[in-house]
Amino acid sequence: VHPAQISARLPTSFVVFVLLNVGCLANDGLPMAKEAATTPRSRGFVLANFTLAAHEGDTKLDCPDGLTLSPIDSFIALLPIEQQARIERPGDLSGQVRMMLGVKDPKALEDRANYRRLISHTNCTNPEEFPEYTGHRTVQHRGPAIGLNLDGRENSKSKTPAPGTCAHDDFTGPSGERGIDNQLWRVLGCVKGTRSDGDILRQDNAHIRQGGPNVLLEITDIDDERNDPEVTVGIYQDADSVRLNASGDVLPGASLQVDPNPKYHAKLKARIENGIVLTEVGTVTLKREGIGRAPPIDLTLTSARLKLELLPNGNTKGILGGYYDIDEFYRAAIGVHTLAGSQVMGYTCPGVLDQMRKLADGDLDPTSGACRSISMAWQLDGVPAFVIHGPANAADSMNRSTVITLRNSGANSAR
Amino acid sequence: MQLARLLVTFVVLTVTNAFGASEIPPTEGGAPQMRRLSEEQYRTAIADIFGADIQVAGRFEPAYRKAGLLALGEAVVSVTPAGFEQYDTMARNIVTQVLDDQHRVKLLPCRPRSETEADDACTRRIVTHYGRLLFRRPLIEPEIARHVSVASQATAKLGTYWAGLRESLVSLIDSPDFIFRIEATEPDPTRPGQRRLTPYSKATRLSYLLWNSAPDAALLDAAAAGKLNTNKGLAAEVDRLMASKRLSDGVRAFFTDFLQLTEMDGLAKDPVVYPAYNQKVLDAAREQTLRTLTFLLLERKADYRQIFTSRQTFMTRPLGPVYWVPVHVRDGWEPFEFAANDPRAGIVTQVAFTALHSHPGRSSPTLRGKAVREVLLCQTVPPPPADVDFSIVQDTSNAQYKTARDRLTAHRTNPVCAGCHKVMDPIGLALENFDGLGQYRVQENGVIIDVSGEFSGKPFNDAASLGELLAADPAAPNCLASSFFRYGVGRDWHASEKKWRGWLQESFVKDGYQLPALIRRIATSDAFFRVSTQSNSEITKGANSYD
Repeated sequence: VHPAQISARLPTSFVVFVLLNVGCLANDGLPMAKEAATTPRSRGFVLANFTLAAHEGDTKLDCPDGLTLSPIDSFIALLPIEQQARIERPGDLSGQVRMMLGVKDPKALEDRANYRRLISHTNCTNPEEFPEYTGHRTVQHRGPAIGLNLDGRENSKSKTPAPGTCAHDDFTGPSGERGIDNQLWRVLGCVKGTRSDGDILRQDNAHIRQGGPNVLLEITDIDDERNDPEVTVGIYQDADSVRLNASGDVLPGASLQVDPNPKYHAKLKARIENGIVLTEVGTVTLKREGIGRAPPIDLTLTSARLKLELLPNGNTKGILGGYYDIDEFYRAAIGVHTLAGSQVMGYTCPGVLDQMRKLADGDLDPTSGACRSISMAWQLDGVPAFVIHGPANAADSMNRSTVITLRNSGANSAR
Repeated sequence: MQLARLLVTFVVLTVTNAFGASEIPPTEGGAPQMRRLSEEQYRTAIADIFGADIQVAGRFEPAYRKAGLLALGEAVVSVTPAGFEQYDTMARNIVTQVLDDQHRVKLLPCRPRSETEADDACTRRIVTHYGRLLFRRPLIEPEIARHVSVASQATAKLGTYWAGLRESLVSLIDSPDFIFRIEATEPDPTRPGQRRLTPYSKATRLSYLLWNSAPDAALLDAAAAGKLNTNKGLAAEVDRLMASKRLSDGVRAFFTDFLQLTEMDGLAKDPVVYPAYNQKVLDAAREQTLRTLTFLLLERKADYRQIFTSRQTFMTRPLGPVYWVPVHVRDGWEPFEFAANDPRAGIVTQVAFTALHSHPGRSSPTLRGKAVREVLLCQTVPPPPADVDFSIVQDTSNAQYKTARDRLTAHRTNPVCAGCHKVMDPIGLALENFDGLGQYRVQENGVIIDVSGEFSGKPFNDAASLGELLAADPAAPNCLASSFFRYGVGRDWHASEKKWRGWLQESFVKDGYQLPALIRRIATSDAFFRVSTQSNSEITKGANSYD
């Protein structure tokens, strides 16, 4: 049964939901129940998955030169063949330590004071000093890859770029969408950690389930969930930890508070076409879990755009794209990994930075002629949630009956 | 002349009313009771007497529900040897905390002369003070002497005053006089040859009815002064206790027992079928129903029948996903009102009812219908026959019978089952929009659920309209009045109380079905305190069981 059919069988009153105004108490001690107009409605979601948009195809096609090299592999590759054989022998600790620390001169390790200094002075903390680690491999093809058309154009390196951007090759999406801007995937697509079940992707979602910073989405002013030329999409930081069910999945239907800091409030105009919500561009700042034990970091996307599909089961899935300052991204997500981290993920810090600079496509610096930010995309899945804008705010994010109707059309409706 | 006639009529009516009040049907009462404290009562007593920061850690003996109420079971249960070990462990743990450096300074009325020697005078003060609070009556001299002696002997053996005092206090808390509410009687001067409850036993009955706790010092003082033996004195104490916020503790305790909410503690749901289930949800659901009831019945002084129709309740974050409603406050509770056309109205549609009267992995119209009949209307549904075949009812994925209504209809083709199911199922089927956890749903196995039916010959469309029919059924308020009395006296109705029960139920109607008025009528009645020298088994002969 299609949700619309169920909806039709419900009394019209079902489409009305109660607005509770906590701050407005009636004489009897209970808040006055107000019935909102039947339209416009709103839908709220909390993210259950939020990972770097990764589209893994055949490795040979994605990365014809193979996956990019880790620090150890890169170091070994720099050595003459006979030394490579020696260094790869198990038990050659000094060689391994040198590689992990990114130390060029083996003698440097003999001085204890120098050794300590070297621990904090690596090719991740000082990538400029290690130009030999630049053999970073990138995605060469022009699709398919996941992302959004951020600049509204179909670009290629040979074409004159849009004002304020740099020439680059766009991707084509998995369903043939044209003009996809995701140069960061070009940089990271041949890194082991971003391939199937890679550590980078796994960590993103682990943070959500471990109570790390998460994102709330709220679509308001909805007149028609299938086609509506004008709705508003709020992208907010969640101030609460997600609630999980017994299986460890994010529980739908929870009430979650918006972070009061306005920095984390983005409201974008949007339209709905055939159930797909697409926003106009704007700036979005989200708080993301820090790497390792680092405190949370801000992820600021400029010219950001969100595309959401409203699924029949009441959930949503979509893509958040935008431009991220490459120095900031390096500090927040690459350099902070340290040598050990980059070894696990399978890249070298100087190599990633070098390629980000070469492939950056946003925020053109007219002085240097180089771009300072890079297009990127996150994939996300959301489950219904009530987005609470502070205890005193009466606005509910979700039309209750609609979501109930949608949920009951899903597989869980049997119970 | 006409005026004079009217005046006469007025006077006659007034006098008749006055006589009417004094013509409350007399009763003979039941036997004095010996009721084991419930876990909550034990914990409350310790918190009241020694302070809320004293931890009570241990397992309590299982409770027993008799004729629908744990309060009746308390009068027939005992303490097993293993249970006594637990009581003793708890008592030792409590006293260790009471006598630690932090607490003894503020809790003990005196300091011993020496820390290594017995101090009978100080021990006597301590035993007298705490004995009165624990036993809910003053200790008699031999009791005081015995507990003082325990302390001094133990001090001699164990070497410190505190070790000795500890044994004495443990013996007080371990005593049957604390663990059981033992009702004592004395000759009744107003009815020669008969007996009545002692003032302290009256105080205890009263205090547990109204506060679910032991009498406070003021009530014990009133008992000592003989005030509870006069109508005026009794009324004054009832009014004092009812004016206290602790009345809600008493009302919550009653409804916890009456609605069987204690069963929520051990309730398990299949987390695969109900991912939103966890113990926090069930705890919150229980609290929600109790908050709803105390709000409506005490704060609002609403007509009791509104508990079947009211859309006002309270929400907390753990319940939000189950009810699928927003909850604005991050911690604690907020008032909530369902929309006028929402399918949820009345406590029967709350999770505490729908989840409790369901199976772990599916709803149960039969269990829900049975609970409405037995718990809320005090009617009796016979148990199923031993050889009943449940296979169709339990098969929720049956391709032929997709909804619970289909499956129960098939089940009812067996004429042995049909009679009882006819009584239970229509009520339960009205609640089928709520799954086994109480979450709202429109369909089952892809089929729209039909929640219409008939109750007492009247049709209803859904759970909310069933609630209106329940509210209109005189059985509901009668059941409450009857249950509150039985809860208070800890026994079933006596044959001699039949007229009084009718009077109480009629009074409830006259009082606008207000719970506080009902409670006050019970608490100030002779019937509530009346005791008989006959045994309960003799006097309940001929009485209807528990309507």
